[in-house]
Amino acid sequence: MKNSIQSTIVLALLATLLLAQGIDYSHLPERSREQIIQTARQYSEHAWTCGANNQEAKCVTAATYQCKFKPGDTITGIAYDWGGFDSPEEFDRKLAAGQAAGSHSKEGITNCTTGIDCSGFVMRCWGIDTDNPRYTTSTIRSIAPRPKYIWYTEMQPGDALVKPGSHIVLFAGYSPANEPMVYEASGSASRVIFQVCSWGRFRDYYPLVYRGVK
Amino acid sequence: MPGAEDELPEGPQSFTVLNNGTIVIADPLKLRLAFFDPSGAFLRDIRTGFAMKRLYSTTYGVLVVENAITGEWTRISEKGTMDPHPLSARAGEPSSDVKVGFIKPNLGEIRLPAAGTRSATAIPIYYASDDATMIALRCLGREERGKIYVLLETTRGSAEIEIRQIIRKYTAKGRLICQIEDIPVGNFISPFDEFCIVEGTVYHLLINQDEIVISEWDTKPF
Repeated sequence: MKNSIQSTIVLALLATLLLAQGIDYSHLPERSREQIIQTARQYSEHAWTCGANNQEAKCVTAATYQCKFKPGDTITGIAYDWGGFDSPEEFDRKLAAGQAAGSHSKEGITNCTTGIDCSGFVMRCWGIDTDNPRYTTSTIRSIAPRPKYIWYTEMQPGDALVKPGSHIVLFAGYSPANEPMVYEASGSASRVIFQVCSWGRFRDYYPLVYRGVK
Repeated sequence: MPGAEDELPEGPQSFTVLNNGTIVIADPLKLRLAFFDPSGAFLRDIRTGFAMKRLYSTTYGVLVVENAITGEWTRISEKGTMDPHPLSARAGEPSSDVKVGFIKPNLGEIRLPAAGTRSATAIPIYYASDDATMIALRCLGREERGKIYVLLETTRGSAEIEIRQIIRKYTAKGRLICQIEDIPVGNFISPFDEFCIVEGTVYHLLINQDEIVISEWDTKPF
């Protein structure tokens, strides 16, 4: 009982401190780690077929649009779309409406392509269903601070690994060889994937813990 | 491609080296396999029409590639004929019968299938250093004679992820016979497969902004 009262006081003091600084995190949705991973799985296992009408992005003027998928390809994982923030339902609806499947940065942020990018994917997994404000790899620390734990033994599913200005992935756990298992919206794979990587791939990244994790 | 805010640069994810020393690199931008001689001179290419995530060469000179988009495997002959790979997805993988396990920092093990039984032989992997800790390991390959190559990843425990990689070669009975410590470090693009082992030679693929560097170490004397 005494511990419980002490915890409540500490939490109240923390909340007061944050509000005094003008930072209010109450808008952040609460998500359990299981919910975060379940959402990541939903994005990475989402099966769809690329149609002939999903090959062209007429609004792209910055470069010649090159769709990474072929008509008739059955794909697993929502398409990578730079600047994109689509849920699986929005993705299917936009594909059906003839939007192009995915894009990369050279094509710019478009309104005629559909999919999701790395930071949008992590935001969605954390339950954030609006991109206003849109957090990037450089600003996402404002809703997910750096923990003090040891990254090679104490990360938990639902945490993230970020390299600001470059990329962010969702941590899913350690493999039996203690390598990181991650979900990510991958530009090179052109879709959301799950994979086991070497730690070497994450040189200069650091972990983040979402403030809304339950 | 150079990448941008919130997008990694794109580049080769995998490579292999043929028995005659020819280097084959899976080029995801031009959707091709590019062939280079051991000095780095371009020889030829085979257009695959899809980006590749993994690439292996078989003992018969056939290349096996994994489509980065669909995950399907394709067999590519020396002449460029392509057909779906009839075997399992992991058939080309050099170490699929070897399991590795991380027990605790600085201690792991390799489990080898024991011939003719369902049991496995476990080889402990110890690491000791004053300033670094082994945090993960991976089996990179196994020779026909049973010698095993293991990648160790170590860190000095900084807040940012800082990793040093070491390759060790063990006998089939678990005796350490050599160790490679001078593996170059880079993170412009991190390939999915950055190591390739062919007949005792270890190759490493490093991708910088304007060049690809292949390093090699001859472990045959060991």
